[in-house]
Amino acid sequence: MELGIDVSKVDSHAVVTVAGEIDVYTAPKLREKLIELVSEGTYDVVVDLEKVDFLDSTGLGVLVGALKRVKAHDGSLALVCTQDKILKIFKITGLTKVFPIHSSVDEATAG
Amino acid sequence: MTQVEIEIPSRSVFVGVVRLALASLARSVGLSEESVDDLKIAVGEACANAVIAAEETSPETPVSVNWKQEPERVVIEIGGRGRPYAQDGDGPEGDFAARMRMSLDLLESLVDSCEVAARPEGGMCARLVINL
Repeated sequence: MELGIDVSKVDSHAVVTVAGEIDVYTAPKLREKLIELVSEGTYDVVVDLEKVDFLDSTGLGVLVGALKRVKAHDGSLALVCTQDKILKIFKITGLTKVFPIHSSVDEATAG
Repeated sequence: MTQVEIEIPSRSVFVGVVRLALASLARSVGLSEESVDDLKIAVGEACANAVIAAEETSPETPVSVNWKQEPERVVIEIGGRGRPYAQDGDGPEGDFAARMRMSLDLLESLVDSCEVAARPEGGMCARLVINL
Protein backbone atom coordinates (compact mmCIF):
# COMPACT_ATOMS: atom_id res chain seq x y z
CA MET A 1 0.00 0.00 0.00
CA GLU A 2 1.61 3.20 -1.19
CA LEU A 3 0.86 6.79 -0.36
CA GLY A 4 1.88 9.29 -3.00
CA ILE A 5 2.81 12.77 -1.81
CA ASP A 6 3.75 15.61 -4.17
CA VAL A 7 4.47 19.15 -3.11
CA SER A 8 4.23 22.16 -5.42
CA LYS A 9 4.22 25.89 -4.87
CA VAL A 10 1.27 28.08 -5.83
CA ASP A 11 1.96 31.70 -4.94
CA SER A 12 2.78 31.66 -1.23
CA HIS A 13 1.12 28.29 -0.63
CA ALA A 14 2.58 24.82 -0.56
CA VAL A 15 0.13 22.48 -2.24
CA VAL A 16 0.48 18.93 -0.95
CA THR A 17 -1.20 16.48 -3.31
CA VAL A 18 -1.88 13.15 -1.67
CA ALA A 19 -2.82 9.99 -3.55
CA GLY A 20 -3.81 6.59 -2.17
CA GLU A 21 -4.93 5.45 1.26
CA ILE A 22 -4.17 7.52 4.37
CA ASP A 23 -4.40 5.12 7.28
CA VAL A 24 -2.64 4.02 10.44
CA TYR A 25 0.23 2.61 8.34
CA THR A 26 0.74 5.39 5.80
CA ALA A 27 -0.22 8.48 7.85
CA PRO A 28 3.25 8.85 9.45
CA LYS A 29 4.67 9.54 5.96
CA LEU A 30 2.24 12.43 5.52
CA ARG A 31 2.96 13.68 9.05
CA GLU A 32 6.70 13.78 8.30
CA LYS A 33 6.17 15.73 5.08
CA LEU A 34 3.91 18.30 6.76
CA ILE A 35 6.34 18.73 9.68
CA GLU A 36 9.16 19.17 7.16
CA LEU A 37 7.27 21.93 5.33
CA VAL A 38 6.60 23.85 8.54
CA SER A 39 10.19 23.45 9.71
CA GLU A 40 11.31 24.93 6.36
CA GLY A 41 9.17 28.00 7.02
CA THR A 42 6.10 27.14 4.94
CA TYR A 43 3.07 28.16 6.98
CA ASP A 44 0.33 28.35 4.33
CA VAL A 45 -0.49 24.84 3.25
CA VAL A 46 -3.17 23.31 1.04
CA VAL A 47 -3.68 19.56 1.22
CA ASP A 48 -5.35 18.21 -1.91
CA LEU A 49 -7.30 15.05 -1.06
CA GLU A 50 -8.94 14.52 -4.45
CA LYS A 51 -6.85 11.41 -5.20
CA VAL A 52 -7.28 9.91 -1.75
CA ASP A 53 -9.30 6.67 -1.73
CA PHE A 54 -9.40 6.14 2.01
CA LEU A 55 -8.90 8.25 5.12
CA ASP A 56 -9.03 7.11 8.74
CA SER A 57 -8.79 8.78 12.15
CA THR A 58 -4.99 8.55 12.13
CA GLY A 59 -4.95 10.58 8.92
CA LEU A 60 -7.38 13.07 10.45
CA GLY A 61 -5.07 13.32 13.46
CA VAL A 62 -2.14 14.15 11.18
CA LEU A 63 -4.13 16.94 9.50
CA VAL A 64 -5.23 18.35 12.87
CA GLY A 65 -1.62 18.24 14.10
CA ALA A 66 -0.44 20.09 10.98
CA LEU A 67 -3.17 22.69 11.43
CA LYS A 68 -1.95 23.35 14.98
CA ARG A 69 1.62 23.72 13.74
CA VAL A 70 0.83 26.26 11.00
CA LYS A 71 -1.51 28.20 13.27
CA ALA A 72 1.32 28.55 15.79
CA HIS A 73 3.02 30.61 13.04
CA ASP A 74 -0.17 32.49 12.06
CA GLY A 75 -0.42 30.27 9.00
CA SER A 76 -3.27 28.35 7.41
CA LEU A 77 -4.13 24.84 6.35
CA ALA A 78 -6.91 24.33 3.82
CA LEU A 79 -8.17 21.14 2.23
CA VAL A 80 -9.35 20.35 -1.27
CA CYS A 81 -12.00 17.64 -1.29
CA THR A 82 -15.17 16.99 -3.28
CA GLN A 83 -15.50 13.23 -2.73
CA ASP A 84 -18.59 12.40 -0.71
CA LYS A 85 -17.02 9.39 0.98
CA ILE A 86 -14.09 11.48 2.29
CA LEU A 87 -16.23 14.53 3.16
CA LYS A 88 -18.44 12.23 5.20
CA ILE A 89 -15.50 11.44 7.50
CA PHE A 90 -14.89 15.14 8.17
CA LYS A 91 -18.59 15.67 8.83
CA ILE A 92 -18.93 12.78 11.30
CA THR A 93 -15.92 13.95 13.30
CA GLY A 94 -16.98 17.61 13.29
CA LEU A 95 -13.87 18.68 11.38
CA THR A 96 -15.80 20.53 8.66
CA LYS A 97 -15.94 23.32 11.26
CA VAL A 98 -12.19 23.16 11.80
CA PHE A 99 -10.79 23.03 8.25
CA PRO A 100 -11.66 25.27 5.32
CA ILE A 101 -12.64 22.72 2.66
CA HIS A 102 -12.53 23.83 -0.98
CA SER A 103 -13.57 22.26 -4.27
CA SER A 104 -10.36 23.09 -6.15
CA VAL A 105 -6.74 24.04 -5.56
CA ASP A 106 -7.38 27.38 -7.31
CA GLU A 107 -10.14 28.17 -4.85
CA ALA A 108 -8.03 27.08 -1.87
CA THR A 109 -5.06 29.22 -2.85
CA ALA A 110 -7.13 32.26 -3.83
CA GLY A 111 -7.58 33.54 -0.30
CA MET B 1 -24.39 -19.02 9.36
CA THR B 2 -21.11 -18.33 7.59
CA GLN B 3 -18.09 -17.57 9.70
CA VAL B 4 -14.66 -16.30 8.64
CA GLU B 5 -11.76 -15.77 11.01
CA ILE B 6 -8.63 -13.77 10.25
CA GLU B 7 -5.66 -13.16 12.50
CA ILE B 8 -3.06 -10.50 11.85
CA PRO B 9 0.10 -9.51 13.70
CA SER B 10 -0.36 -6.31 15.74
CA ARG B 11 1.33 -4.17 13.11
CA SER B 12 -0.23 -1.31 11.19
CA VAL B 13 0.85 -2.61 7.78
CA PHE B 14 -1.70 -5.45 8.09
CA VAL B 15 -4.74 -3.27 8.80
CA GLY B 16 -5.23 -2.66 5.08
CA VAL B 17 -5.33 -6.41 4.47
CA VAL B 18 -8.28 -6.76 6.86
CA ARG B 19 -10.10 -3.84 5.23
CA LEU B 20 -9.78 -5.41 1.80
CA ALA B 21 -10.78 -8.88 2.97
CA LEU B 22 -13.87 -7.64 4.80
CA ALA B 23 -14.88 -5.35 1.93
CA SER B 24 -14.84 -8.42 -0.26
CA LEU B 25 -16.97 -10.37 2.23
CA ALA B 26 -19.37 -7.42 2.49
CA ARG B 27 -19.86 -7.35 -1.29
CA SER B 28 -20.51 -11.11 -1.23
CA VAL B 29 -23.55 -10.57 1.00
CA GLY B 30 -24.91 -7.86 -1.28
CA LEU B 31 -24.06 -4.66 0.60
CA SER B 32 -24.13 -1.51 -1.54
CA GLU B 33 -20.83 0.16 -2.42
CA GLU B 34 -21.65 3.00 0.00
CA SER B 35 -22.22 0.50 2.80
CA VAL B 36 -19.01 -1.31 1.84
CA ASP B 37 -17.12 2.01 2.14
CA ASP B 38 -18.67 2.60 5.58
CA LEU B 39 -17.76 -0.90 6.68
CA LYS B 40 -14.17 -0.47 5.48
CA ILE B 41 -13.78 2.65 7.60
CA ALA B 42 -15.37 1.07 10.68
CA VAL B 43 -13.35 -2.14 10.38
CA GLY B 44 -10.17 -0.14 9.73
CA GLU B 45 -10.79 1.96 12.83
CA ALA B 46 -11.47 -1.02 15.10
CA CYS B 47 -8.42 -2.82 13.74
CA ALA B 48 -6.18 0.24 14.03
CA ASN B 49 -7.33 0.76 17.62
CA ALA B 50 -6.40 -2.83 18.47
CA VAL B 51 -3.02 -2.53 16.75
CA ILE B 52 -2.15 0.83 18.34
CA ALA B 53 -3.20 -0.44 21.77
CA ALA B 54 -0.94 -3.47 21.39
CA GLU B 55 2.07 -1.79 19.79
CA GLU B 56 3.63 -0.69 23.08
CA THR B 57 2.65 -3.49 25.40
CA SER B 58 2.17 -6.67 23.41
CA PRO B 59 3.21 -6.36 19.76
CA GLU B 60 3.72 -10.12 19.53
CA THR B 61 0.06 -10.91 20.18
CA PRO B 62 -2.28 -11.08 17.19
CA VAL B 63 -5.40 -9.10 16.43
CA SER B 64 -8.31 -11.38 15.69
CA VAL B 65 -11.12 -10.57 13.29
CA ASN B 66 -14.24 -12.67 13.26
CA TRP B 67 -16.92 -12.24 10.58
CA LYS B 68 -20.25 -13.94 11.28
CA GLN B 69 -22.97 -13.78 8.68
CA GLU B 70 -26.42 -14.42 10.11
CA PRO B 71 -29.73 -14.40 8.20
CA GLU B 72 -30.48 -10.74 8.88
CA ARG B 73 -27.20 -9.23 9.96
CA VAL B 74 -23.43 -9.45 9.97
CA VAL B 75 -21.53 -9.36 13.26
CA ILE B 76 -17.83 -8.48 13.17
CA GLU B 77 -15.70 -8.87 16.28
CA ILE B 78 -12.24 -7.36 16.34
CA GLY B 79 -10.16 -8.14 19.39
CA GLY B 80 -6.65 -7.47 20.56
CA ARG B 81 -4.61 -7.95 23.70
CA GLY B 82 -3.35 -4.37 24.01
CA ARG B 83 -4.03 -1.86 26.75
CA PRO B 84 -7.60 -0.65 27.23
CA TYR B 85 -8.07 2.09 24.69
CA ALA B 86 -11.06 4.06 25.91
CA GLN B 87 -8.72 6.10 28.02
CA ASP B 88 -6.83 9.35 27.79
CA GLY B 89 -3.68 9.12 25.80
CA ASP B 90 -0.43 10.88 26.36
CA GLY B 91 1.23 10.89 22.95
CA PRO B 92 2.56 14.05 21.30
CA GLU B 93 -0.10 16.78 21.51
CA GLY B 94 -2.47 14.29 23.14
CA ASP B 95 -2.66 12.54 19.78
CA PHE B 96 -3.81 9.24 21.23
CA ALA B 97 -6.86 10.70 22.96
CA ALA B 98 -7.80 12.97 20.05
CA ARG B 99 -7.49 10.18 17.50
CA MET B 100 -9.46 7.82 19.73
CA ARG B 101 -12.36 10.26 20.05
CA MET B 102 -12.54 10.62 16.26
CA SER B 103 -12.22 6.87 15.84
CA LEU B 104 -15.10 6.14 18.21
CA ASP B 105 -17.22 8.82 16.49
CA LEU B 106 -16.65 7.06 13.18
CA LEU B 107 -17.36 3.61 14.61
CA GLU B 108 -20.62 4.72 16.19
CA SER B 109 -21.79 6.49 13.03
CA LEU B 110 -20.91 4.00 10.32
CA VAL B 111 -22.37 0.72 11.55
CA ASP B 112 -25.80 -0.14 12.94
CA SER B 113 -24.35 -0.97 16.33
CA CYS B 114 -20.91 -0.80 17.90
CA GLU B 115 -19.85 -1.92 21.34
CA VAL B 116 -16.31 -1.68 22.64
CA ALA B 117 -15.56 -3.59 25.80
CA ALA B 118 -12.75 -5.17 27.77
CA ARG B 119 -12.31 -8.90 27.17
CA PRO B 120 -12.22 -11.28 30.15
CA GLU B 121 -8.92 -12.69 28.88
CA GLY B 122 -7.37 -9.22 28.58
CA GLY B 123 -7.36 -6.57 25.90
CA MET B 124 -10.35 -5.08 24.15
CA CYS B 125 -12.96 -6.20 21.66
CA ALA B 126 -15.03 -4.11 19.29
CA ARG B 127 -18.30 -5.71 18.17
CA LEU B 128 -19.80 -4.22 15.04
CA VAL B 129 -23.24 -5.14 13.74
CA ILE B 130 -24.47 -4.41 10.22
CA ASN B 131 -28.11 -5.16 9.49
CA LEU B 132 -28.80 -6.73 6.09
